[in-house]
Amino acid sequence: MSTSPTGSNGVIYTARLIRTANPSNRTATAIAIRDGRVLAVGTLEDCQAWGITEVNTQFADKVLTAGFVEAHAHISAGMFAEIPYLGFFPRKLPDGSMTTAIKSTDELVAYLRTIDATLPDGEPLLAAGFDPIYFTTERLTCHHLDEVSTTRPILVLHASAHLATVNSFVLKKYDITKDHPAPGLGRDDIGEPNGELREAGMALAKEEYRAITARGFGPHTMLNFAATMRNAGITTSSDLASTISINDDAIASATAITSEESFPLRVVAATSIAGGAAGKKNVLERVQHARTLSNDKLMYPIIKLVLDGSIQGFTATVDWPGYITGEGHPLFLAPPEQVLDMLRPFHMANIGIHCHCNGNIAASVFIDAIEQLLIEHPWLDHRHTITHAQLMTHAQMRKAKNLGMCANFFVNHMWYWGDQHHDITVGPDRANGLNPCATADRIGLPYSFHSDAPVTPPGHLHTMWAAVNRIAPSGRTIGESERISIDRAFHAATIDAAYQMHIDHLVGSLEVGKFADITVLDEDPYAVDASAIRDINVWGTMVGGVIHKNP
Amino acid sequence: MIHRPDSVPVVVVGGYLGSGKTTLINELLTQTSRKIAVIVNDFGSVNIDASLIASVNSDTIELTNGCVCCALGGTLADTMLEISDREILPDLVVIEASGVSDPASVSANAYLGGFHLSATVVLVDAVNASRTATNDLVGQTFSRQINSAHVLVLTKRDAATAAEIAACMTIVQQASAPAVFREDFSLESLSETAATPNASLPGEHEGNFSSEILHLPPLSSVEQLENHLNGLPKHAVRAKGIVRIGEQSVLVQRVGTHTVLSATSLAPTGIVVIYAD
Repeated sequence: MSTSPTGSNGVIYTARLIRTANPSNRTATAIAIRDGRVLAVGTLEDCQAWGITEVNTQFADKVLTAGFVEAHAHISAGMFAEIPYLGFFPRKLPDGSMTTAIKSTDELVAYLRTIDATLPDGEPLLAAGFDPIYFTTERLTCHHLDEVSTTRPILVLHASAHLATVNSFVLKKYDITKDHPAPGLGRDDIGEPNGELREAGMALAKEEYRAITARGFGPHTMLNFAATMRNAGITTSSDLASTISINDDAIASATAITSEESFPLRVVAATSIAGGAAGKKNVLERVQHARTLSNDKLMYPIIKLVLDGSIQGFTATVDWPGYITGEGHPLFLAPPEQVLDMLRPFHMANIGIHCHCNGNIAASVFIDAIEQLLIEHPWLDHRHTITHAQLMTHAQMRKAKNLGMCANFFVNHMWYWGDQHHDITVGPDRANGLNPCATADRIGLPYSFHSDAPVTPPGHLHTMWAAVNRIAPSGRTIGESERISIDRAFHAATIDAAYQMHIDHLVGSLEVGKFADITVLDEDPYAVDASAIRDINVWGTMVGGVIHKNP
Repeated sequence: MIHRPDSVPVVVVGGYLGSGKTTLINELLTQTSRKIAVIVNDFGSVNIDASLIASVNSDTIELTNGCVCCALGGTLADTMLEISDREILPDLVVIEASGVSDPASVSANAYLGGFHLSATVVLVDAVNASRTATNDLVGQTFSRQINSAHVLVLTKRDAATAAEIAACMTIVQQASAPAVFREDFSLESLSETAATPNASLPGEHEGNFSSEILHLPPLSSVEQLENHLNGLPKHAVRAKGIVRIGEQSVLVQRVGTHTVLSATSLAPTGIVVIYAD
């Protein structure tokens, strides 16, 4: 639900504590808001100096902070409101309910049976979010899903979105038998398909695959995305690798939705400049056109390029000595020698570049390209950002700092895959140095951190907790000397995220003249025990002075 | 190869940046007498004569000769499914793999309902091959591309020095792939033979080639594998694939009667056998 402040002259909110992320006035107890912007921050008396008489005390026992800013998430995070979610870790849905954590294949079967019971005959059962990396002793197969139903199609999309598991009904429907030549079929010991469909093989289940992947990111997904972010206390989020700017209908639809006062999020649409829809269009022209149609809650200050794969997928471009177990399959998603030419037009047009680099080889390619672009075209305030930046070396961070770049660390990995990185992917030494926030501080490289939602659940209470504690599910601390203080974490989650998206003059701190974007918390993240930061309840948010209470 | 007789053959054209994929595809589109659907990464790269264009929309360019050029919207699989929904099916689908992609994973799209893989053609730029092969960043990508080919085509020979061509030949010969090697090649020659159900490839000595995927039962020893391979007919000139022996995945590479085995962590794929018909 959302409500607007009434007083035309403005309204003052009092609070137990206000954390501004503005070093000039770090804390306050009252904030005055006029026309959706911060008029004054300080004591009630400071705020009343503007002649405002309306004082709203509904947050008198709450802690207000500068609204959280997420610089790396995707609109597809709204999807989990629309199909059953089978994640190992639970997440909060737009309606405020929590998903059921799926810790075993038995639990998966039991949960899917409850869904099955609600569906009409013949309707497919589609679900997502299953992550086999947590199920080391057993593979999910068609036989498990046959225990759910043998009379309707079932397709479970894995968390990586590179794999799906289907039931025998689907195998039979598409005549997928032992003799089928497709390389993307999982098979059992005697060569029979076991229900696993990999990569392109997923499309063998044509109708179900389409039903789950071609849902499109229409108005419903955008609304679910915004509600998911609001529940996590986020007031501005990127849609990184966005397709909104690519066609006029998508721009019109997104513009209309975000213009509604009840839409609780500022969206930074960072257009993907390679692959997919981008292949068909002149992306620079599209972004520049979209920029002319920006509004306060839909902006296009940056673009996105994906350079490599993921560490847990063994596709990140990891330099010597590579992965500690097994063979890596390092994957460049854009040709390294074309990166400079791909980025040049955007740099020349003063558009910020966020480049996905999980591995340190990809990071080198990007940093070197930026160095060359700066020689060709000296844009001194570019803030180009290495996003994920998980395996950056210290030398790379020093160079990135010298070039005026930023990093956006995927610090949630320390929890969600910390043990896997320690044991399976890069080994203890480099796991300790993953997402090196403290080193970035020592070097002076500006950084934020992110959830990459839907890859991990969105929420800066969780990212701050991960950066401050660096604890993995096994209980081990991974990289104690890369822990940072809650104060550094809070700034990374607010003003520093806004900075790397070129919107720090608008959001990221409670500073006179900026948008009145506020996260409303039950407790002060600075005051609770460090281990409890992620458990703080988010009451809701305020975006441009409009209150959005969580369900 | 097991596929329905009316399924549409698919040719994947791979190769590193600048190896001539677009040139080859443009040549095919303007010279063919068949209805061909071409899937490209980027419309900007295909240079279609304006007089040949019948209509353009955001996803496709229809040509007056019945061909259609599709730009990748979502995933490649999405585009393949769209083609399978067309009222008039093409005689052949040609997929342009991106310069850094692994044609083997691209070719997995050729097994979707209504299609079958005819061949994976990988172009090798004679001028730059040795530099690309030893490049720290992309050397591995390049070698994966070469090893996934059924047909390797040497391009830009006219611009290459004798030394560059020699270096290129060394790379190609060292590649363990069971590929047919061609110096002169047009997709049109391939499409004429590939449209028949038993996809055949133009070969080294004017002969035709066909391929088949062999799925072996689980093996407990190398001897068992050798028995299977030795049982292949004489005209099985090359074979390559990944099988499981006991708990171990093994890469099998066979040229003539000579077999090389090596351990790998990749999942079993079956063995592609190429026959000289």
